[in-house]
Amino acid sequence: MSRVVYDGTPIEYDEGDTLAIAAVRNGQHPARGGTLCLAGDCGNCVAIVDGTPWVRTCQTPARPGSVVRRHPSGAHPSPGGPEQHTAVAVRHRRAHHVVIGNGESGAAAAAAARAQGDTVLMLDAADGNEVVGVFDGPTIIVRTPSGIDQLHAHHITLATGAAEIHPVCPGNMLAGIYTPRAAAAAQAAGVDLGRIAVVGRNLVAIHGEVGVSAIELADGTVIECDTVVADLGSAPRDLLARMAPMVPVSVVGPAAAAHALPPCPQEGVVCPCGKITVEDLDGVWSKGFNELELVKRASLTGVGTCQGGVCMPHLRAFVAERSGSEPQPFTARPAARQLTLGEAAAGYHIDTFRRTPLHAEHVALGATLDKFGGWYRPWHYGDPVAEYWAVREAVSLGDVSTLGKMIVSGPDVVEALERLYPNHVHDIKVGRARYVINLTERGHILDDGMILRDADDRFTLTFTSGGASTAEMWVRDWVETWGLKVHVLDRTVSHGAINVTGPLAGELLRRAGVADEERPKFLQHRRLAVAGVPCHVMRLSFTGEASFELHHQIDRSVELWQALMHLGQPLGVRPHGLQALFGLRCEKGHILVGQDTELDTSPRRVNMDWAVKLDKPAFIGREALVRTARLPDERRLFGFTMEGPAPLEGSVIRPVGGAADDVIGHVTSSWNSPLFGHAVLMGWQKRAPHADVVEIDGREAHVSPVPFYDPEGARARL
Amino acid sequence: MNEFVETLLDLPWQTCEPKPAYDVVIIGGGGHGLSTAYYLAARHGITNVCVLDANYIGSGNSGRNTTIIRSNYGIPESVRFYQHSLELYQGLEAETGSWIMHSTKGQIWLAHSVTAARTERTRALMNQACGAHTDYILPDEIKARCPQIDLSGGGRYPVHGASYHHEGATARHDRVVWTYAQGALRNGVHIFQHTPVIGLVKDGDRVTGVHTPNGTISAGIVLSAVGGHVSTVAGWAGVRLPIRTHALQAFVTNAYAQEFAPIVSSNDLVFYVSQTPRGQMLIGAEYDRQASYRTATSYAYLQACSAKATIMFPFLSKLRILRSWAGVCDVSTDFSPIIGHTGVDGFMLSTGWGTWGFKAIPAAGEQLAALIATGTPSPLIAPFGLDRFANELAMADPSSAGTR
Amino acid sequence: MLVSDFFDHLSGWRIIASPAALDAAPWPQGSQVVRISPDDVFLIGSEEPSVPGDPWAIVTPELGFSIATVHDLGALAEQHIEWALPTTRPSLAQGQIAGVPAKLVLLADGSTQLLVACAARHELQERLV
Repeated sequence: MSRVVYDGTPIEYDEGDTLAIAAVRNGQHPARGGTLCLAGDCGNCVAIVDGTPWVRTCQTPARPGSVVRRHPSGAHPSPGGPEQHTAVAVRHRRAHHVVIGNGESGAAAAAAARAQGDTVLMLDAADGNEVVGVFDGPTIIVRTPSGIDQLHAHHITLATGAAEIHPVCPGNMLAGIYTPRAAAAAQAAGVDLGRIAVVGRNLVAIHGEVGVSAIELADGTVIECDTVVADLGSAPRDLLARMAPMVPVSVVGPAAAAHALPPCPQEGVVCPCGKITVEDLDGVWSKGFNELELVKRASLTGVGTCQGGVCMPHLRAFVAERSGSEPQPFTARPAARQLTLGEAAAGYHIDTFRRTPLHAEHVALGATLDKFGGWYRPWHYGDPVAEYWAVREAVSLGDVSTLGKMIVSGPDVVEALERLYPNHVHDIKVGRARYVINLTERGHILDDGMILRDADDRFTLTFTSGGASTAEMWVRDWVETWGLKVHVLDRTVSHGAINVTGPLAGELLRRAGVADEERPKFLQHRRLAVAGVPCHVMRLSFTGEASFELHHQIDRSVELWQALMHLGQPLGVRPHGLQALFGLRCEKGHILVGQDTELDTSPRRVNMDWAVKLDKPAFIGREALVRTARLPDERRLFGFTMEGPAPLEGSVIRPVGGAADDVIGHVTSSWNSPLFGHAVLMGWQKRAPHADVVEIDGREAHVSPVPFYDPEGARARL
Repeated sequence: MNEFVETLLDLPWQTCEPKPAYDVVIIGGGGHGLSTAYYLAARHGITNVCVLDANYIGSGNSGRNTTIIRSNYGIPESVRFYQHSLELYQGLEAETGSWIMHSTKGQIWLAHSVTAARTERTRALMNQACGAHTDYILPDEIKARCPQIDLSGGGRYPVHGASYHHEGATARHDRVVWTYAQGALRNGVHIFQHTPVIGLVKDGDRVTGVHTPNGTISAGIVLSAVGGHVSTVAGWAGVRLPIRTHALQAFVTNAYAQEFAPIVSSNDLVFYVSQTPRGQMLIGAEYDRQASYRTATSYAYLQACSAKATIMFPFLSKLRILRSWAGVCDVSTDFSPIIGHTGVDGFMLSTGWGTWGFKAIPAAGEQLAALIATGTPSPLIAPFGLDRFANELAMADPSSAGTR
Repeated sequence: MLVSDFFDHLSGWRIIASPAALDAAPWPQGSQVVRISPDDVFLIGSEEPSVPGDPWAIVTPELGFSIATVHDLGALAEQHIEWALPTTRPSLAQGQIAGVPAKLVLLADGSTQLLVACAARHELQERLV
């Protein structure tokens, strides 16, 4: 004989016992009382099994050494403390026709389906396939001994039979009350139930202290007994079908049969999960909660662990008698059969974080990497200020492989780009590049990037790292909507890009084999070999210094990076991370879309009307900009300078001497400029007249023209 | 009788049929419609008011939300509005004598990346300036406030810090609905359940009443306080709304002993968890991306939410999911509510409550009632008028909206 | 082992052109044609192809993918793929595998290749182990 430990006491069980049977075999109620159905329909046998509370012991096989504890009396079990997550295995399976329940009606449905040539899969809890829910798909979620099955089916037949109705009367939470099928099951397992009294609707009360000692019938008869078998008929076990009203499920057999409601309950516990009594139902009814849903919500009947399995017939009978009309059952809420979060999580894969081709280089250089826009990116390499100075005074490398990159080509490509972007496109010469913003139909800034012309009918487009993921869809949607002939190829993950930036950037390229006269000038681009690696060299500037973005096939990224680091050593090259980059661009007053812009930022709010050509006949956002141009708009992004440490980004901007809650805007970018020795910031003033001096962090800040650094842009052209 | 039942106040239903005309007809007997009715009657003596609901009171989003009350928004106008609402909630039991099971828990809004930490710092700074009590806190304090958390985030989502909203709270959603219904009924407001509005009565451009299957009811003002189908109702008035409707799902576990004190949300992982006064762990995430009026729940949602929640709280993996549900949320293009005049005489709106409507019930009702009584929107709701979209004055606050 | 070790940088060409031009294109001998969509071909092989039928065709090297050989397609599908696999070969299937966007090339000889962007290879590799 094997043993389990039940509330601290080792008890013996027979082969094939569930934990509930093992308990009753030893003269104990598996929980603390209440009718046992031993069919998984109610919550009267739940206990803490091997540390997991709320387990239906009637559905759990007894295993050697299992430790079962009852839920604490009159209180909820502890959720448990910090502990490790144990992964649950998942299987994705497919079946043509699934029949849930292999009783008589299930077998008949399966046979009929097979006769039509269907392949049929039958699931039954007794065979270790516990169906916990039916969802859209249709997908059937099945708990098996090895984990969770996600079963994708074309046809589903529910043959789950009927659940027996529990008695509601005084004493109905005592131990020793069974439904007929539960009593039969216990007896079949060889359990001695003692003196048994079988009763029907004439039951009015059950007497006893902990266990049953007697029952009382409607005619006043009292019968002494150890076990009450209450035969009150049954109700369809159709929870799975009611949970998935939109999923085509055939319900057959007793699960679909009409049934009579039991008599209106007079006294006792209606909802064993919540210990809700008839008195409670009367209470809410008398207070004006006069329909099934309101009775449910006000009394909390039917929202416990059995999902209304026990109380629904009684609750409906109660409402039927009080209101004079029989209510439909309320909606059932997934999941049936109590899936754990660990089980539900099985098979879910969290978002991917992408790595650039230089990931290992950054790690080797001691970079602090962080998730940024779906990629792991170097935040800094230990000394962001030194990285800053390398850019301003020497030369530095930045990994910009995450930029959105796209090739577009076709007879209609110029027309398409003219419509996509608010800036002019047709006059970009081959070999030249232009900074562009793109707008939503409401005229709000969506992203920014570059347009580079490769040939009359072919361009390279870049987008921000954050905008890259939706850029292709954006271009394709519009081009297809307009019916223009344009080919689109996203290159974001196929091309790497290294930004060589700093006053010595040109010198580093020279050392990498690019002759001075080959080097593209500012806003030019050219295909060149750099250190032997074929590159599309784009001369732009985000940092404010001369910058060459080297776009290349990612199989050569490491080679290119290492060559540049090596060749640049005498020039003082070092890589820079995002922290230095954001400071550098802040000094140049370049906005970061999403940080310095908001959801509804129009170009004029960030002083970028120059990037919008309203003389063009059509582009996305034009109509909105034309309409809103007439409207007063006081929201503006400003540059500010201030002494002392840079305030935190997000700091509020107030009028000088204004009240504490007089907020006129907030700081969007903030940087302690090593070059200027004071803070440079960008931030909003959202009401006019705009002040020249504002208060930030308790200090004065002065509006300043941007760029703060090299306003003529001479450095980028060096 | 158990405590939950015993403490319920009566719903003193009117016994008459609807009158032919009311000063104000409110479509939608959820929290927003009922609170507006209550404040109209209680604060302004406007009692010739009726509330119509297509189903039973609180059957829509008021009974399908995650009961979180907070004011930690990202723009001053929202912080002020929701802070006022949060304070009204704090006083609602004293004002009405009705127990709404209000419980101040504090809300921890986790950041797992440098950028998210920046967002949470920004939130704290903006909140402090506008009257909401929010601080940026570090992992040690997070652990002290919530010992069940895995600060390493399973190795993938390490906690950098969090904003901590001291006054974040919860209340029992149904009881809020009933509290306002009781208050309104007691003050003479009529509430008719199972009375759908099937059209608006118009006199020229003006809305003058509502059609129901049982006839028309005239109204000085018709207020739409519906959730989920507001675009239809507004359409009857000829008003097009910048609103899209999405389902929001959530679920609870079985009940457990009270051991999880705060409300915890995650900026990067996008889920939130709290423990209800009844002991259930309540878990939600963002609304479904696909626009829809459906209230069915999906397994994909349970799966994603369970996976995210158990990354930060491994103890949840052994807890059992009891029930999931969905509400339908009207989400405006700037993620802020739309309250007040519509440009159509006689027709007002309270919508755009997305997934943040529950926390706004007291303030929106109170301020709308004042607007109806005085004709002028107060500074608290003036920024949230429908005309802001045409006037390029959107109240964009996407990082605070969510459902967290 | 569900799949072999990944080989980085599968070498090939990416061709975007009109569907008719792609249908008619004379692909270099020995190359393997993976038709990603009507206007998009991933050509595995080193020789540069040409698409005479479309003067605007984009023809560019493609080195952004990693490739692995699937050892046990049935087990891979059961454990990591929510969608139904094609029932015929040769064919191409695209979708999430273990939550990572990937492609399965089901070859006529019964073997199967798994393609994933190099940027997400580490994630997929970790999840399949």
